[in-house]
Amino acid sequence: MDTLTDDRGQALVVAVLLIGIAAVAIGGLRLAQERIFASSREHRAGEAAAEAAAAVLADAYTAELRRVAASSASPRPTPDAGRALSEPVVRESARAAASDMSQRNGGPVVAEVAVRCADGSADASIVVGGRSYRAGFHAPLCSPR
Amino acid sequence: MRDEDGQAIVEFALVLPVLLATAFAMVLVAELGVARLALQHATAEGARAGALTNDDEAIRQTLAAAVAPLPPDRIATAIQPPQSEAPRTADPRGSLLTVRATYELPIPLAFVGLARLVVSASSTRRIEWTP
Repeated sequence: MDTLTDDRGQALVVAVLLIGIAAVAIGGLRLAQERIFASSREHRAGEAAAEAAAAVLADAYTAELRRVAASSASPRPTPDAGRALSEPVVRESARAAASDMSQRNGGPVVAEVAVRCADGSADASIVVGGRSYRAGFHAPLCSPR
Repeated sequence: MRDEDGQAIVEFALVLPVLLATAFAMVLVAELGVARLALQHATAEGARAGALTNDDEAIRQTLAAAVAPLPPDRIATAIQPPQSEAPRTADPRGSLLTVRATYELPIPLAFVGLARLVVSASSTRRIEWTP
């Protein structure tokens, strides 16, 4: 028997080769899927976190309106939305809400929330995984007067 | 005894099952990925709809519309807490709403005893709706 020209066992070699190629292809496909999936999950978490932070700001905004409306002082005080939204306790509540929502949706901790009250709207901006997300609401008191 | 006629056919017949199993596995992995992405997207959209409307029917409709290319009738949906329970019955603003969806991937050769492949995803949002 000439071991260099013998044809026996060719099918086995081809089968092993196919299994090897398939394993690499499936492994690569799974890896690519995991990366896409992780990116998509982080994106959703960022959106949810920004909306949660904006909801906290909206609550603070309406609380400021209620405080002024409930005041019996004369003349009635002017609502200061900019001050109300930039108070440390409000910012920290917004950050905590954003961070909680991000983590519940598989995202990372949110370290900081940037608050903006200008041009008739209030916004919360966060950065999750290197991408920034912003959510806001119509806030007439944030207009310059 | 040493005739090699037909050897290629015999070898092809031996390799064919491996080839088919390989192709089947790759298609299955791809389908799994599509299902995961579709479910994740659909639950996020459903939870967002729920956060804005506090309405389970709106959540289900949004989820069904967003789950393409998966068939909506094969998606099992769970909403926590349900609309009939507190805090969603009164003023739920600020409370959490979780939408979970599950999909069983149809496997063509399931009858031979292959394991069931179940894909699930969930999304949580703070309810913004006020009565």
